[in-house]
Amino acid sequence: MPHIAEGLLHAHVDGALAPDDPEWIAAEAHLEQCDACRRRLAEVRQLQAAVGGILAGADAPGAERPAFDELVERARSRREEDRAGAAIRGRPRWWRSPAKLAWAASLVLAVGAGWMGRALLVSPDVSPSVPEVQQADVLASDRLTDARAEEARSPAELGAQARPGGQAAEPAPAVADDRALRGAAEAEEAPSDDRAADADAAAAAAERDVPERARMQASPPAAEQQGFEAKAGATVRCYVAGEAGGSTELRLSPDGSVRLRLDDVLYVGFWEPGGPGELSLRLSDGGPWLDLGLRETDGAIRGILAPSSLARTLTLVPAACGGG
Amino acid sequence: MSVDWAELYETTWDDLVRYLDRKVWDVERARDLAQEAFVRALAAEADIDNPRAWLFTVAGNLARDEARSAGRRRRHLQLLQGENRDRVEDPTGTENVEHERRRAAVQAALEQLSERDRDILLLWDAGLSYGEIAAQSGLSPGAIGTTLARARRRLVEAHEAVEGGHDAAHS
Repeated sequence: MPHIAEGLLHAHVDGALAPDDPEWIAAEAHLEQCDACRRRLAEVRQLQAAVGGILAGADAPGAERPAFDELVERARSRREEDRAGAAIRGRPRWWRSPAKLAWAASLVLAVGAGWMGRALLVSPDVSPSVPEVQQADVLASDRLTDARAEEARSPAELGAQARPGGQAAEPAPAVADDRALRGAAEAEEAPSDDRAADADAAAAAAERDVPERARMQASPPAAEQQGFEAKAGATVRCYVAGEAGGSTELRLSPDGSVRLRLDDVLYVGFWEPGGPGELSLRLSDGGPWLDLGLRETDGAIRGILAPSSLARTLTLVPAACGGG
Repeated sequence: MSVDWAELYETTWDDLVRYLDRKVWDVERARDLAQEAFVRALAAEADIDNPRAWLFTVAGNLARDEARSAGRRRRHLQLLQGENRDRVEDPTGTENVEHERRRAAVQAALEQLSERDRDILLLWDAGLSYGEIAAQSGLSPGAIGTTLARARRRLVEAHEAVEGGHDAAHS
Protein backbone atom coordinates (compact mmCIF):
# COMPACT_ATOMS: atom_id res chain seq x y z
CA MET A 1 0.00 0.00 0.00
CA PRO A 2 1.34 3.45 -0.85
CA HIS A 3 1.93 5.95 1.92
CA ILE A 4 -1.10 7.21 3.80
CA ALA A 5 -2.88 10.23 2.35
CA GLU A 6 -2.44 13.45 4.29
CA GLY A 7 -6.18 14.02 4.57
CA LEU A 8 -6.68 10.61 6.08
CA LEU A 9 -4.05 11.23 8.73
CA HIS A 10 -5.73 14.44 9.72
CA ALA A 11 -9.16 12.87 9.75
CA HIS A 12 -7.86 10.17 12.07
CA VAL A 13 -6.20 12.61 14.43
CA ASP A 14 -9.42 14.64 14.42
CA GLY A 15 -11.38 11.59 15.46
CA ALA A 16 -13.56 11.80 12.41
CA LEU A 17 -13.10 8.24 11.24
CA ALA A 18 -15.40 5.43 12.27
CA PRO A 19 -13.61 2.60 14.11
CA ASP A 20 -14.45 0.18 11.32
CA ASP A 21 -13.50 2.55 8.52
CA PRO A 22 -11.90 0.31 5.92
CA GLU A 23 -9.48 3.01 4.74
CA TRP A 24 -8.13 3.46 8.22
CA ILE A 25 -7.90 -0.25 8.89
CA ALA A 26 -5.70 -0.52 5.83
CA ALA A 27 -3.73 2.51 6.97
CA GLU A 28 -3.08 1.02 10.38
CA ALA A 29 -1.68 -2.09 8.79
CA HIS A 30 0.61 0.12 6.76
CA LEU A 31 1.73 2.06 9.81
CA GLU A 32 3.06 -1.07 11.42
CA GLN A 33 5.56 -1.35 8.62
CA CYS A 34 6.32 2.20 7.65
CA ASP A 35 8.56 4.43 9.75
CA ALA A 36 8.00 7.39 7.52
CA CYS A 37 4.24 7.33 7.95
CA ARG A 38 4.55 6.88 11.69
CA ARG A 39 6.65 10.03 11.73
CA ARG A 40 4.09 11.81 9.58
CA LEU A 41 1.33 10.81 11.95
CA ALA A 42 3.25 12.23 14.90
CA GLU A 43 3.87 15.37 12.89
CA VAL A 44 0.16 15.76 12.18
CA ARG A 45 -0.58 15.54 15.89
CA GLN A 46 1.95 18.27 16.53
CA LEU A 47 0.54 20.36 13.73
CA GLN A 48 -2.94 20.08 15.15
CA ALA A 49 -1.73 21.15 18.58
CA ALA A 50 0.26 24.04 17.12
CA VAL A 51 -2.77 25.34 15.29
CA GLY A 52 -4.83 25.16 18.45
CA GLY A 53 -2.19 27.16 20.25
CA ILE A 54 -1.96 29.79 17.54
CA LEU A 55 -5.69 30.33 17.38
CA ALA A 56 -6.03 30.38 21.15
CA GLY A 57 -3.50 33.20 21.24
CA ALA A 58 -6.10 35.42 19.66
CA ASP A 59 -8.74 34.74 22.26
CA ALA A 60 -10.25 37.75 23.93
CA PRO A 61 -11.69 37.50 27.42
CA GLY A 62 -15.21 36.19 27.42
CA ALA A 63 -18.12 38.07 28.87
CA GLU A 64 -21.51 37.15 30.20
CA ARG A 65 -23.89 35.99 27.58
CA PRO A 66 -27.36 37.54 27.65
CA ALA A 67 -30.14 35.61 29.31
CA PHE A 68 -31.81 33.13 27.05
CA ASP A 69 -35.23 34.57 27.78
CA GLU A 70 -34.09 37.88 26.38
CA LEU A 71 -33.30 36.21 23.09
CA VAL A 72 -36.64 34.42 23.05
CA GLU A 73 -38.36 37.74 23.48
CA ARG A 74 -36.37 39.33 20.68
CA ALA A 75 -37.16 36.37 18.49
CA ARG A 76 -40.85 36.81 19.16
CA SER A 77 -40.85 40.43 17.98
CA ARG A 78 -38.64 39.46 15.08
CA ARG A 79 -41.14 36.88 13.96
CA GLU A 80 -43.92 39.45 14.04
CA GLU A 81 -41.86 41.92 12.08
CA ASP A 82 -40.98 39.27 9.52
CA ARG A 83 -44.62 38.40 9.05
CA ALA A 84 -45.60 42.02 8.65
CA GLY A 85 -42.72 42.59 6.31
CA ALA A 86 -43.46 39.59 4.14
CA ALA A 87 -46.84 40.99 3.18
CA ILE A 88 -45.32 44.04 1.58
CA ARG A 89 -41.78 42.90 0.99
CA GLY A 90 -42.56 41.76 -2.50
CA ARG A 91 -42.89 45.33 -3.61
CA PRO A 92 -39.68 45.50 -5.63
CA ARG A 93 -40.89 42.53 -7.62
CA TRP A 94 -44.32 44.01 -7.93
CA TRP A 95 -42.71 47.15 -9.13
CA ARG A 96 -41.51 45.29 -12.17
CA SER A 97 -44.84 43.79 -13.09
CA PRO A 98 -46.71 45.31 -16.01
CA ALA A 99 -49.60 46.33 -13.80
CA LYS A 100 -47.51 48.83 -11.99
CA LEU A 101 -47.21 50.95 -15.09
CA ALA A 102 -50.66 52.22 -14.26
CA TRP A 103 -49.48 53.07 -10.81
CA ALA A 104 -46.33 54.72 -12.12
CA ALA A 105 -48.46 56.69 -14.52
CA SER A 106 -50.63 57.83 -11.65
CA LEU A 107 -47.56 58.85 -9.74
CA VAL A 108 -46.29 60.91 -12.59
CA LEU A 109 -49.70 62.41 -13.12
CA ALA A 110 -49.80 63.34 -9.47
CA VAL A 111 -46.37 64.85 -9.79
CA GLY A 112 -47.36 66.72 -12.89
CA ALA A 113 -50.58 67.92 -11.29
CA GLY A 114 -48.75 70.01 -8.76
CA TRP A 115 -47.52 67.46 -6.31
CA MET A 116 -43.96 68.28 -7.34
CA GLY A 117 -41.96 68.29 -4.18
CA ARG A 118 -44.25 65.96 -2.37
CA ALA A 119 -42.70 62.52 -2.35
CA LEU A 120 -44.96 59.73 -1.29
CA LEU A 121 -43.69 57.65 1.53
CA VAL A 122 -44.72 54.08 1.88
CA SER A 123 -44.51 52.06 5.05
CA PRO A 124 -41.14 50.54 5.75
CA ASP A 125 -40.66 47.22 4.08
CA VAL A 126 -37.09 46.81 5.09
CA SER A 127 -37.13 44.02 7.59
CA PRO A 128 -34.50 44.89 10.18
CA SER A 129 -32.96 41.48 9.96
CA VAL A 130 -29.45 42.71 9.39
CA PRO A 131 -28.07 44.58 12.37
CA GLU A 132 -26.26 47.14 10.26
CA VAL A 133 -29.40 48.06 8.46
CA GLN A 134 -31.22 48.34 11.74
CA GLN A 135 -28.76 50.88 12.94
CA ALA A 136 -28.78 52.74 9.68
CA ASP A 137 -32.56 52.79 9.75
CA VAL A 138 -32.39 54.67 13.01
CA LEU A 139 -29.89 57.12 11.60
CA ALA A 140 -31.79 57.66 8.38
CA SER A 141 -35.32 57.68 9.73
CA ASP A 142 -34.51 60.21 12.40
CA ARG A 143 -33.85 62.71 9.69
CA LEU A 144 -36.79 61.66 7.60
CA THR A 145 -39.26 61.65 10.44
CA ASP A 146 -39.48 65.40 10.89
CA ALA A 147 -40.41 65.89 7.31
CA ARG A 148 -42.71 62.93 7.15
CA ALA A 149 -46.01 64.71 7.34
CA GLU A 150 -47.70 62.70 4.62
CA GLU A 151 -49.48 59.55 5.56
CA ALA A 152 -48.10 56.34 4.20
CA ARG A 153 -50.07 54.99 1.32
CA SER A 154 -50.10 51.46 0.05
CA PRO A 155 -49.49 50.93 -3.65
CA ALA A 156 -52.91 49.36 -3.97
CA GLU A 157 -54.50 52.61 -2.91
CA LEU A 158 -52.46 54.53 -5.39
CA GLY A 159 -53.42 52.01 -8.01
CA ALA A 160 -57.01 52.82 -7.16
CA GLN A 161 -56.27 56.44 -7.82
CA ALA A 162 -55.12 55.49 -11.27
CA ARG A 163 -58.27 53.65 -12.09
CA PRO A 164 -60.08 56.53 -13.69
CA GLY A 165 -57.19 57.16 -16.05
CA GLY A 166 -55.35 53.86 -16.10
CA GLN A 167 -55.80 51.14 -18.62
CA ALA A 168 -54.78 47.95 -16.90
CA ALA A 169 -55.66 49.09 -13.42
CA GLU A 170 -58.37 46.52 -12.74
CA PRO A 171 -56.26 43.38 -12.71
CA ALA A 172 -53.49 45.27 -10.96
CA PRO A 173 -54.18 44.28 -7.34
CA ALA A 174 -54.52 40.59 -8.09
CA VAL A 175 -51.36 40.45 -10.15
CA ALA A 176 -49.55 42.53 -7.60
CA ASP A 177 -50.54 40.34 -4.67
CA ASP A 178 -49.62 37.19 -6.47
CA ARG A 179 -46.25 38.48 -7.43
CA ALA A 180 -45.74 39.99 -4.02
CA LEU A 181 -46.28 36.64 -2.36
CA ARG A 182 -44.13 34.77 -4.81
CA GLY A 183 -41.46 37.39 -4.94
CA ALA A 184 -41.21 37.95 -1.20
CA ALA A 185 -38.22 35.76 -0.55
CA GLU A 186 -36.42 36.53 -3.77
CA ALA A 187 -36.93 40.26 -3.52
CA GLU A 188 -35.48 40.11 -0.06
CA GLU A 189 -32.30 38.69 -1.43
CA ALA A 190 -31.90 40.66 -4.60
CA PRO A 191 -31.42 44.12 -3.13
CA SER A 192 -29.50 42.89 -0.13
CA ASP A 193 -26.19 44.00 -1.58
CA ASP A 194 -27.66 47.37 -2.27
CA ARG A 195 -29.21 47.53 1.12
CA ALA A 196 -25.87 46.97 2.74
CA ALA A 197 -24.51 49.77 0.64
CA ASP A 198 -27.49 51.90 1.59
CA ALA A 199 -26.93 51.35 5.25
CA ASP A 200 -23.36 52.31 4.65
CA ALA A 201 -24.51 55.46 2.93
CA ALA A 202 -27.00 56.27 5.63
CA ALA A 203 -24.24 56.03 8.16
CA ALA A 204 -22.22 58.38 6.04
CA ALA A 205 -25.17 60.71 5.91
CA ALA A 206 -25.37 60.81 9.66
CA GLU A 207 -21.82 62.04 9.74
CA ARG A 208 -23.00 65.16 8.03
CA ASP A 209 -25.11 66.09 10.98
CA VAL A 210 -21.96 67.43 12.58
CA PRO A 211 -21.57 70.66 10.66
CA GLU A 212 -17.90 71.29 11.20
CA ARG A 213 -16.85 67.92 9.84
CA ALA A 214 -15.29 68.14 6.45
CA ARG A 215 -17.60 66.65 3.94
CA MET A 216 -16.30 63.43 2.50
CA GLN A 217 -16.06 63.78 -1.20
CA ALA A 218 -17.59 61.00 -3.18
CA SER A 219 -15.73 60.21 -6.37
CA PRO A 220 -15.85 63.45 -8.32
CA PRO A 221 -18.48 63.55 -11.07
CA ALA A 222 -17.44 64.05 -14.64
CA ALA A 223 -16.53 67.67 -15.02
CA GLU A 224 -17.63 68.05 -18.59
CA GLN A 225 -21.04 67.46 -19.93
CA GLN A 226 -20.90 64.91 -22.68
CA GLY A 227 -23.42 63.49 -25.02
CA PHE A 228 -24.95 60.22 -24.01
CA GLU A 229 -26.63 57.35 -25.74
CA ALA A 230 -30.34 57.95 -25.74
CA LYS A 231 -31.03 54.31 -26.49
CA ALA A 232 -32.84 53.27 -23.35
CA GLY A 233 -32.65 49.60 -22.63
CA ALA A 234 -29.14 49.27 -23.99
CA THR A 235 -26.96 51.65 -22.07
CA VAL A 236 -26.44 53.07 -18.67
CA ARG A 237 -27.51 56.72 -18.59
CA CYS A 238 -25.57 58.99 -16.29
CA TYR A 239 -26.22 62.49 -15.10
CA VAL A 240 -24.41 64.85 -12.82
CA ALA A 241 -25.39 67.99 -11.01
CA GLY A 242 -25.81 70.95 -13.32
CA GLU A 243 -25.11 73.57 -10.71
CA ALA A 244 -21.69 74.00 -9.21
CA GLY A 245 -20.88 72.36 -5.91
CA GLY A 246 -22.35 69.30 -4.26
CA SER A 247 -21.70 65.85 -5.58
CA THR A 248 -24.76 64.52 -7.29
CA GLU A 249 -24.88 61.66 -9.70
CA LEU A 250 -27.72 59.73 -11.18
CA ARG A 251 -27.19 56.47 -12.97
CA LEU A 252 -30.04 54.71 -14.74
CA SER A 253 -29.32 51.15 -15.78
CA PRO A 254 -31.08 49.22 -18.54
CA ASP A 255 -32.15 46.53 -16.09
CA GLY A 256 -34.37 49.03 -14.28
CA SER A 257 -32.06 49.74 -11.37
CA VAL A 258 -31.02 53.22 -10.40
CA ARG A 259 -28.31 54.74 -8.26
CA LEU A 260 -28.59 58.28 -7.04
CA ARG A 261 -25.75 59.80 -5.10
CA LEU A 262 -26.74 62.97 -3.36
CA ASP A 263 -24.22 64.63 -1.10
CA ASP A 264 -22.55 61.33 -0.26
CA VAL A 265 -25.82 59.62 0.51
CA LEU A 266 -26.38 56.76 -1.85
CA TYR A 267 -29.95 55.97 -2.85
CA VAL A 268 -30.56 52.75 -4.70
CA GLY A 269 -33.71 51.48 -6.25
CA PHE A 270 -35.72 51.11 -9.39
CA TRP A 271 -36.72 53.37 -12.22
CA GLU A 272 -39.39 53.31 -14.83
CA PRO A 273 -40.19 55.56 -17.73
CA GLY A 274 -43.52 57.26 -17.17
CA GLY A 275 -45.30 59.47 -19.62
CA PRO A 276 -43.28 61.17 -22.34
CA GLY A 277 -40.15 62.72 -20.88
CA GLU A 278 -40.93 61.44 -17.42
CA LEU A 279 -39.29 59.02 -15.05
CA SER A 280 -40.55 57.41 -11.89
CA LEU A 281 -38.08 56.32 -9.28
CA ARG A 282 -38.36 54.35 -6.11
CA LEU A 283 -35.33 54.84 -3.93
CA SER A 284 -34.01 53.92 -0.56
CA ASP A 285 -30.96 54.94 1.39
CA GLY A 286 -31.44 52.07 3.74
CA GLY A 287 -34.57 53.56 5.17
CA PRO A 288 -38.11 53.56 3.87
CA TRP A 289 -38.71 53.70 0.15
CA LEU A 290 -39.04 57.15 -1.35
CA ASP A 291 -40.92 57.79 -4.53
CA LEU A 292 -39.80 60.45 -6.88
CA GLY A 293 -40.85 61.71 -10.24
CA LEU A 294 -38.34 63.29 -12.55
CA ARG A 295 -38.84 65.08 -15.78
CA GLU A 296 -36.50 65.23 -18.76
CA THR A 297 -36.55 68.57 -20.50
CA ASP A 298 -33.97 69.96 -22.87
CA GLY A 299 -31.67 67.04 -22.19
CA ALA A 300 -31.57 67.69 -18.44
CA ILE A 301 -33.34 65.95 -15.62
CA ARG A 302 -35.23 67.89 -13.02
CA GLY A 303 -37.01 66.85 -9.91
CA ILE A 304 -37.26 67.26 -6.20
CA LEU A 305 -36.17 64.74 -3.64
CA ALA A 306 -38.26 65.17 -0.55
CA PRO A 307 -39.18 64.92 2.18
CA SER A 308 -35.88 64.90 3.91
CA SER A 309 -33.42 67.45 5.10
CA LEU A 310 -31.90 67.11 1.66
CA ALA A 311 -34.97 68.55 -0.01
CA ARG A 312 -33.79 70.39 -3.03
CA THR A 313 -34.46 70.78 -6.66
CA LEU A 314 -32.31 68.50 -8.73
CA THR A 315 -31.10 69.58 -12.06
CA LEU A 316 -28.94 66.96 -13.65
CA VAL A 317 -27.27 67.04 -17.00
CA PRO A 318 -25.99 64.12 -19.02
CA ALA A 319 -22.50 62.97 -18.24
CA ALA A 320 -20.07 60.24 -19.06
CA CYS A 321 -20.54 57.32 -16.73
CA GLY A 322 -17.85 57.12 -14.13
CA GLY A 323 -16.38 53.85 -12.95
CA GLY A 324 -17.95 51.76 -10.21
CA MET B 1 -37.71 16.41 16.78
CA SER B 2 -37.57 19.75 18.50
CA VAL B 3 -34.31 21.34 19.39
CA ASP B 4 -33.45 22.31 22.93
CA TRP B 5 -32.30 25.78 22.07
CA ALA B 6 -31.67 26.79 25.63
CA GLU B 7 -29.15 24.03 25.99
CA LEU B 8 -27.62 24.63 22.60
CA TYR B 9 -27.30 28.29 23.52
CA GLU B 10 -25.41 27.41 26.66
CA THR B 11 -23.06 24.96 25.02
CA THR B 12 -22.44 26.78 21.76
CA TRP B 13 -22.31 30.43 22.77
CA ASP B 14 -18.58 30.67 23.54
CA ASP B 15 -17.60 28.80 20.38
CA LEU B 16 -19.87 30.92 18.24
CA VAL B 17 -18.51 34.16 19.66
CA ARG B 18 -14.95 32.98 19.18
CA TYR B 19 -15.70 31.92 15.60
CA LEU B 20 -17.18 35.31 14.85
CA ASP B 21 -14.41 37.16 16.64
CA ARG B 22 -11.89 35.53 14.35
CA LYS B 23 -13.80 36.82 11.38
CA VAL B 24 -14.72 40.34 12.40
CA TRP B 25 -11.88 40.85 14.90
CA ASP B 26 -14.08 42.77 17.28
CA VAL B 27 -15.31 40.96 20.36
CA GLU B 28 -18.21 43.31 21.02
CA ARG B 29 -19.40 42.95 17.48
CA ALA B 30 -18.88 39.20 17.62
CA ARG B 31 -21.22 39.01 20.60
CA ASP B 32 -23.82 41.10 18.83
CA LEU B 33 -23.67 38.88 15.78
CA ALA B 34 -23.79 35.72 17.86
CA GLN B 35 -26.95 36.99 19.53
CA GLU B 36 -28.37 37.84 16.14
CA ALA B 37 -27.71 34.31 14.89
CA PHE B 38 -29.59 32.84 17.84
CA VAL B 39 -32.46 35.28 17.50
CA ARG B 40 -32.84 34.27 13.87
CA ALA B 41 -32.75 30.62 14.81
CA LEU B 42 -35.42 31.12 17.43
CA ALA B 43 -37.53 33.24 15.11
CA ALA B 44 -37.33 30.82 12.21
CA GLU B 45 -40.69 29.45 11.28
CA ALA B 46 -39.38 26.22 9.81
CA ASP B 47 -37.61 23.44 11.67
CA ILE B 48 -33.85 23.48 11.44
CA ASP B 49 -32.28 20.16 10.64
CA ASN B 50 -28.76 20.60 11.83
CA PRO B 51 -28.93 23.43 14.32
CA ARG B 52 -25.27 23.87 15.09
CA ALA B 53 -24.24 23.83 11.45
CA TRP B 54 -27.11 26.23 10.73
CA LEU B 55 -26.04 28.62 13.46
CA PHE B 56 -22.51 28.75 12.16
CA THR B 57 -23.73 29.20 8.61
CA VAL B 58 -25.84 32.17 9.64
CA ALA B 59 -22.97 33.53 11.69
CA GLY B 60 -20.63 33.18 8.71
CA ASN B 61 -23.05 35.11 6.53
CA LEU B 62 -23.43 37.84 9.11
CA ALA B 63 -19.67 38.12 9.37
CA ARG B 64 -19.39 38.37 5.61
CA ASP B 65 -21.99 41.14 5.50
CA GLU B 66 -20.02 42.82 8.23
CA ALA B 67 -16.91 42.78 6.08
CA ARG B 68 -18.71 44.70 3.37
CA SER B 69 -18.75 48.44 3.44
CA ALA B 70 -21.81 48.59 5.66
CA GLY B 71 -19.96 47.29 8.65
CA ARG B 72 -16.79 49.17 7.83
CA ARG B 73 -18.58 52.46 7.45
CA ARG B 74 -20.53 51.96 10.66
CA ARG B 75 -17.27 51.49 12.49
CA HIS B 76 -15.82 54.57 10.82
CA LEU B 77 -18.87 56.44 11.95
CA GLN B 78 -18.35 55.33 15.52
CA LEU B 79 -14.75 56.28 15.20
CA LEU B 80 -15.61 59.75 14.04
CA GLN B 81 -18.25 60.27 16.68
CA GLY B 82 -16.04 59.36 19.53
CA GLU B 83 -12.39 58.80 18.86
CA ASN B 84 -11.74 57.53 22.34
CA ARG B 85 -14.80 55.40 22.57
CA ASP B 86 -13.06 52.21 21.55
CA ARG B 87 -10.26 52.80 23.93
CA VAL B 88 -12.60 53.31 26.85
CA GLU B 89 -14.79 50.36 26.00
CA ASP B 90 -12.06 47.88 25.21
CA PRO B 91 -10.41 46.84 28.44
CA THR B 92 -7.60 44.95 26.78
CA GLY B 93 -6.73 47.62 24.27
CA THR B 94 -4.53 50.03 26.09
CA GLU B 95 -3.67 47.76 28.96
CA ASN B 96 -2.36 44.82 27.06
CA VAL B 97 -0.46 45.83 24.00
CA GLU B 98 1.09 42.42 23.68
CA HIS B 99 -2.29 40.77 23.52
CA GLU B 100 -3.41 43.09 20.77
CA ARG B 101 -0.25 42.44 18.86
CA ARG B 102 -0.76 38.71 19.17
CA ARG B 103 -4.29 39.05 17.88
CA ALA B 104 -3.05 41.05 14.95
CA ALA B 105 -0.47 38.37 14.19
CA VAL B 106 -3.09 35.64 14.19
CA GLN B 107 -5.30 37.74 11.97
CA ALA B 108 -2.47 38.33 9.53
CA ALA B 109 -1.61 34.64 9.46
CA LEU B 110 -5.23 33.59 8.92
CA GLU B 111 -5.56 36.00 6.05
CA GLN B 112 -2.89 34.07 4.19
CA LEU B 113 -5.31 31.20 3.82
CA SER B 114 -7.94 31.02 1.15
CA GLU B 115 -11.35 32.01 2.38
CA ARG B 116 -12.66 28.46 2.23
CA ASP B 117 -9.65 26.93 3.96
CA ARG B 118 -9.83 29.57 6.65
CA ASP B 119 -13.51 29.06 7.24
CA ILE B 120 -13.22 25.31 7.54
CA LEU B 121 -10.31 25.62 9.92
CA LEU B 122 -12.27 28.02 12.11
CA LEU B 123 -15.32 25.79 12.07
CA TRP B 124 -13.24 22.86 13.21
CA ASP B 125 -11.70 24.93 15.94
CA ALA B 126 -15.18 25.98 16.99
CA GLY B 127 -15.93 22.36 17.72
CA LEU B 128 -17.97 21.31 14.74
CA SER B 129 -17.66 17.74 13.58
CA TYR B 130 -16.68 16.77 10.04
CA GLY B 131 -20.33 15.95 9.42
CA GLU B 132 -21.47 19.38 10.56
CA ILE B 133 -18.74 21.10 8.58
CA ALA B 134 -19.73 19.09 5.53
CA ALA B 135 -23.34 20.19 5.98
CA GLN B 136 -22.30 23.79 6.24
CA SER B 137 -19.71 23.89 3.48
CA GLY B 138 -21.00 21.37 1.00
CA LEU B 139 -17.70 19.51 0.96
CA SER B 140 -17.62 15.76 1.35
CA PRO B 141 -16.29 14.58 4.71
CA GLY B 142 -13.30 13.08 2.89
CA ALA B 143 -12.37 16.43 1.43
CA ILE B 144 -12.49 18.05 4.83
CA GLY B 145 -9.49 16.17 6.12
CA THR B 146 -7.53 17.26 3.08
CA THR B 147 -8.65 20.85 3.47
CA LEU B 148 -7.74 20.90 7.13
CA ALA B 149 -4.36 19.40 6.34
CA ARG B 150 -3.62 22.19 3.90
CA ALA B 151 -5.08 24.90 6.11
CA ARG B 152 -3.13 23.85 9.17
CA ARG B 153 0.19 23.73 7.36
CA ARG B 154 -0.48 27.09 5.78
CA LEU B 155 -1.44 28.68 9.08
CA VAL B 156 1.65 27.49 10.88
CA GLU B 157 3.89 28.66 8.05
CA ALA B 158 2.16 32.02 7.84
CA HIS B 159 2.22 32.52 11.58
CA GLU B 160 5.91 31.72 11.73
CA ALA B 161 6.53 34.21 8.97
CA VAL B 162 4.59 36.94 10.76
CA GLU B 163 6.14 36.26 14.15
CA GLY B 164 9.55 35.86 12.57
CA GLY B 165 9.21 39.31 11.11
CA HIS B 166 8.20 40.65 14.50
CA ASP B 167 11.11 38.95 16.23
CA ALA B 168 13.56 40.20 13.65
CA ALA B 169 12.34 43.73 14.09
CA HIS B 170 12.60 43.56 17.84
CA SER B 171 15.85 41.70 18.25
